[in-house]
Amino acid sequence: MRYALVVMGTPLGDESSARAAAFAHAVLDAGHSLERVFFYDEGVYNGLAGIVAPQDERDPLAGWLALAAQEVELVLCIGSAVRRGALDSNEAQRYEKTGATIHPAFTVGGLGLLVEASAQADRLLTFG
Amino acid sequence: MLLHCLSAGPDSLTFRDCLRMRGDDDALLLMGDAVYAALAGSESLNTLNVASGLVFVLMPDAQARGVDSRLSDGIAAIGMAEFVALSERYSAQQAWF
Repeated sequence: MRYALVVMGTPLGDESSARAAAFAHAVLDAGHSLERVFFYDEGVYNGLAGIVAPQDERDPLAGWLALAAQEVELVLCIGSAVRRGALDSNEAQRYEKTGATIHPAFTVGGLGLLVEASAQADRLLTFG
Repeated sequence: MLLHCLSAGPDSLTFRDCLRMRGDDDALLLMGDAVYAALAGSESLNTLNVASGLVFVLMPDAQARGVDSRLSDGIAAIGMAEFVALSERYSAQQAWF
């Protein structure tokens, strides 16, 4: 089956985004395809490159980067991202900010990418 | 048939809304703070329609809260692989958080 996920939880607020990442890995382990994870609303904080986890805590970025290494597309909603300072280099340049703040494994894109993913996927699950 | 993924705690309005909207054939997966409803003897347990056989609790979240040994026998505790299997079985998911 083809899966797509929507992630709305912050990396530090509760375990919802960690649960989403664990579910994503389990989807791949089960032999399904996962083409896109769409981060919406507060979920865009998952893409910040500068998050530093204390040594005895889980690194919230690691689970997502492992998915990106398996060709899962990680898209931050551009409207949610820009207003929270989660910028790629294009947006940083457009708004005359000092530089990109998101990890290069993530891209920013419009809601159309969520609509497209939901139309193409057999299963769309939301994690908030 | 829906898979309801409920992560709000038993005292929340979201929790009550989810139970109210759940259809007879829908599955209910308790995760996050909702796992407290799955504890043996909890007041919320009676409202879950456990007898339907369609109530599940996400084991990693119960373990994270240290309550995995106190879950009601009537509710199936599942891991991530079984969560994926549930999502295969139900064509649509509703997240309550």
